[in-house]
Amino acid sequence: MLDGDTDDAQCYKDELMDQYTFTQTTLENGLPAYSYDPDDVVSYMCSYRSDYTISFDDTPSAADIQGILDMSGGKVGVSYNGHNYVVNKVKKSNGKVRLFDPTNPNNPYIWVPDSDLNGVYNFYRN
Amino acid sequence: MVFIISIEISTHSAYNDLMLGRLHSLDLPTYFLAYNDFDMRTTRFYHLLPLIFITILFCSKEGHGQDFSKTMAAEYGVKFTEPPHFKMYNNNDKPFLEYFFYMAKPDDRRRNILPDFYLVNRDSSILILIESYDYSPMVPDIFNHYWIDPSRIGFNHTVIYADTTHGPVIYYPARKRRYSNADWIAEFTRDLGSRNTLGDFKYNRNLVINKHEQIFLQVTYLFKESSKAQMDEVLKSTQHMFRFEDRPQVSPASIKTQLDRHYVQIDPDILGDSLDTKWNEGKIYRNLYYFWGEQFAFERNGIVISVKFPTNDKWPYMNHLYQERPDTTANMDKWHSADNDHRRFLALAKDTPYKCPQAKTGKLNADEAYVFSFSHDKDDLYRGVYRDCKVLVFHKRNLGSVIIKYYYRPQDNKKVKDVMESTWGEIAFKDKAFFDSLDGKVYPY
Repeated sequence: MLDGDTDDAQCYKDELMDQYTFTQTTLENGLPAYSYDPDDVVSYMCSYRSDYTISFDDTPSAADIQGILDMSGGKVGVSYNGHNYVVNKVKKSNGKVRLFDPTNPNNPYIWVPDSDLNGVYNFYRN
Repeated sequence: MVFIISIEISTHSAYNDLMLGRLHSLDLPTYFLAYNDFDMRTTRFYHLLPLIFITILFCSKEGHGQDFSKTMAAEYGVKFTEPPHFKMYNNNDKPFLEYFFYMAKPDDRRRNILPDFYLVNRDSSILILIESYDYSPMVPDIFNHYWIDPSRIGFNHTVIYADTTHGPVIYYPARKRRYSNADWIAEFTRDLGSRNTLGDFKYNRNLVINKHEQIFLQVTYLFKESSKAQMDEVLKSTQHMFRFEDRPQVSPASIKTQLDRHYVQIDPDILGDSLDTKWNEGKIYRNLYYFWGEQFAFERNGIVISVKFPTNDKWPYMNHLYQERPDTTANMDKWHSADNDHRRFLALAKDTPYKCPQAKTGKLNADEAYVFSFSHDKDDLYRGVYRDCKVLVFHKRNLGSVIIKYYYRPQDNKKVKDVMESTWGEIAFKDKAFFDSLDGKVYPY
């Protein structure tokens, strides 16, 4: 999975491209499009935006995650159990974190202890 | 003389049995009562017995692990009554009570149950896990490039987790929802597979209890072999365990907001007939979630016109929010699939759906339109009054769909047709000039 060795958006993008098979195509309007395998990575790829800072935290806590969510444009992505999720809710008082899978919106939410997260990607506006 | 009474309550044996080897003391706080010049040998001691009794009672209620007010459910308007023969525990301290499982149906994910709180019966043969999920609005952002209906997540928890090889999902009628004040309740057997950490809990029943735009609870009843015969009885005896206060987490979206989001226009003439109350409760038919509930409604000549905008997550994930034109070439199959999604609603017709001719479809600024009849179950009346309706489903290519239901009383069978005719086109997609002006910056839903 993603190892968090990088801390800026471009490298993050490059890292994804290194790790996953993708096909680049050109749309009717001339803009590039990417098809990824596995599809899950699309959620992160789509999130590449030059106006965002991306950082990695390898020892996340519910309080840290809430701190990012409180920032402008703050979002937190996480690889959990072999799948990519975004943090949807944090319960700081007991350290539970609720995850949502944006590439599979038909899936349920899951609650997990923050101690079960090996690392999170933080996204926030520059 | 000073006399100190120390009260400690030891670990509940049934609870220990459940922890799969993990000790978890109730650890109730120690309370001290101090009295000057207290002498046990005097009758004054007996005057203090009620106080001691009350103190013990207070400690047992306030000790962590047994205080419902500390649960997420309580925070979002759920009232809880502990059922007889069960004891309730919080799950607020690490290490949490958590179970893992792989579903029997094809699925590559290890899944978990991390309850908000749980209940145990006296001999530990029945465990009830309650997961709480409050409503969180979701709007497009750097991760979600499309609208996600957060109210639908509760339904996801039903269809994904239901093991229909043990029977269908049962949606409760009004009489079985009334006490809880829930909007819909689904009962099913949960697919917990055979690879799990549930130990001797081999059998289960599950409820998803939904309060629209507020919270939903996933209640998993687990039974050991010794309590298997009690499954129906336990569900019945615990049916008044939860009651919802009305505490919605979002203000109702205005009609204008809904219209703008879904590229729909409404004639001011019918807008004047809009109803203040919405009807978002009842059964979900054939698991078609978006046929349930409404965004807003009007009343015209005794006919209630209910409007719903179904959302559809089958649209291609990328290239339609930040791109100037929809990517209809690279993801042709996905666009095609999404453009056929609205036809699922035709399965609810009790007659043959009528496909409207181009002349009528054009008045809706749509590409396709169907009309069919639908009847609610007799124990699931719309607004507690109406059973029958005529349904109009219309769709605009690469954009979305609208469901309009015209509810009528049995004696108004002719009148409903007149109202449909007279209001036809008053609720429609925006016109071609509007979409042309967007230069392809259209967001499908």
